[in-house]
Amino acid sequence: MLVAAAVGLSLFVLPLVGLLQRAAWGSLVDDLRSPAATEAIRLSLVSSLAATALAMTFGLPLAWVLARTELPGRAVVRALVLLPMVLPPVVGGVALLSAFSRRSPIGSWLYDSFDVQLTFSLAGVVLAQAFVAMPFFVITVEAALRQADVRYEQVAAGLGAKPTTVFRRVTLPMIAPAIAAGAALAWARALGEFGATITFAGNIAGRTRTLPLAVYLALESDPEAAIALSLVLLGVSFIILVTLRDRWLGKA
Amino acid sequence: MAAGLDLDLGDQSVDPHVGDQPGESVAGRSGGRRTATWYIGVLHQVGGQALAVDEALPTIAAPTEHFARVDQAPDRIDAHAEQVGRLANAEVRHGRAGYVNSWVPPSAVIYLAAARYCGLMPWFRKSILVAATAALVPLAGCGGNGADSPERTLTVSAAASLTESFTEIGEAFEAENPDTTITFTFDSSGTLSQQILDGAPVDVFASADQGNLDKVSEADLIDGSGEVFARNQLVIITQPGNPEGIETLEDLVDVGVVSLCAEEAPCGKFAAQALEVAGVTIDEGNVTRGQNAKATLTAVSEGDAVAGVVYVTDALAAGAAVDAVQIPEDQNVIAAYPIAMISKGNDADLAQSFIDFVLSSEGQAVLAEYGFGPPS
Repeated sequence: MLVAAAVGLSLFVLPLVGLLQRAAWGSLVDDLRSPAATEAIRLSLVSSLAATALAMTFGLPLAWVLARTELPGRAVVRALVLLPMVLPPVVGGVALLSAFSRRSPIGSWLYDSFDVQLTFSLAGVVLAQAFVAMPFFVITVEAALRQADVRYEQVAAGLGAKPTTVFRRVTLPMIAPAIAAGAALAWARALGEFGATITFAGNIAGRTRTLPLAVYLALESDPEAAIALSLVLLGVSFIILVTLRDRWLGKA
Repeated sequence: MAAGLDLDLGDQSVDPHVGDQPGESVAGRSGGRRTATWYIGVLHQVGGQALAVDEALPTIAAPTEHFARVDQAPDRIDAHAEQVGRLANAEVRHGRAGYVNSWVPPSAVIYLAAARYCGLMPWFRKSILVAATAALVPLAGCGGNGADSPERTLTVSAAASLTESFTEIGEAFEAENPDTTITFTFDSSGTLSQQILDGAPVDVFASADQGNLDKVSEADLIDGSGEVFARNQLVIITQPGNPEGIETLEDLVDVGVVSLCAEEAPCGKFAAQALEVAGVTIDEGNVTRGQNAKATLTAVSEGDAVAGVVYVTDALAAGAAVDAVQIPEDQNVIAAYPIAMISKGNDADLAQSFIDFVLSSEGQAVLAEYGFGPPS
């Protein structure tokens, strides 16, 4: 059993070790200080945080509806919400393109009425990242809502609290760890999003070239820079997962 | 009367329905019941015969696999469907088991069918059945049976702009040389050269510029410097109907998002050259970079890029999906495509004959059909 587990672990460890030993540690800081790299890092941070905020804003009500209501068709809604998790990201990008590009009904309406173009823009990046990240948040929070004891809320309601007060003072604090864990997972996923971003938002320096796209582009021309950027992503993901810790990931 | 027995049950299951009527078990334990019935079910399917359970059980299950009974039920129940109503095959549905017609996992049946087909006689061990149920059963090949038809394979890495032309050339080559299979990888020449340097098993490399071929030959993977087999030029592509009215490279400056190849890809380098000669600088914040020529074109044909710069051949291949705007000769770049054989390939003769085919009049005709210029 231990041997099999060790083999399984090596599948994860070996690629990371390979990345670490291939890195040019001497020039790492210079690689990361280059304009292209700082641009990509800044863009990635901004877009992923915005995408996480979007996922939380709409994911929390969605999770609440899925966990706490008896609306018909919940199973279908849940399947739809979880679809981006299993969909290949590029397919997600193509789907977004079909829905929001300037040739689509919605996209052309947005462009003609508001002069808003989602493709090739930061908004498009945020949309693509939220599309893939929201399922992680929803699934985490929904599980926590299911596990949370309804009686506390019933007692609060019985003591005279309005539904919004119940939600704010009783429900939210109870599921706060799950919200944090879901947000962290969603952020990590948004940070690493590639396929949907490059298909929907394109690869424009300073506007849509997030870290993963920068790595992809640099792979041909400047492998050292690509590896330096990869290490940044690796480090951030590792920190997120370590701070999440078992009890949050497991319970939620 | 209930029997009060002191049983050491260990980890074997117990018959919960203890009784003292004929046919009911008094007390007892049974192990491996499910396995026994699995075997029975499988035997039933493969043998093609309806075995009576009592005949099957003793051959597989050990005698201790029965519960202690007060009475044995009769061996066979001969009953016809009309007499028994819905109970068809009653003679087979007998005893504790009655599982003979039970569901057998399709993968187990497929596995056994395949085993018979391939002439193997598998041992009916639990592990094999478990593996068959769990694993995907490869029916093709029956374990390396390809000795009767010697297939020659060739792996060709070619620039993305050669997708359509080389696919057709490959088909023509395969038609003239039966038992040959050509596998193509189409991508940016930069990506392909990197893959070859990293050890990808490629036999022939057709690049869009000499630079990438030189990278590979510097690593001693190519003898010589290849041979030019086609030429290409750049063209501006726009949305169908050219709504922005683009006519020159200068018009690309403030028109919106322009799609260009990555700077290290040959088409990116050539586009940069052409823009420099024309004295045009497009703000990088308006440029979306595609990994190869095809991806760059897709940004215009499927996406919202207003215009792009790709090869003439790509624009032709895209047909009505994009409109093409000529670049004047003095600003345009002539791309010379070299082809070469990788020295570490597995079939040097086949690789050479493919290269000769590309350079022959037949191959050249196909290339010309797709818009390529002659090598010289």
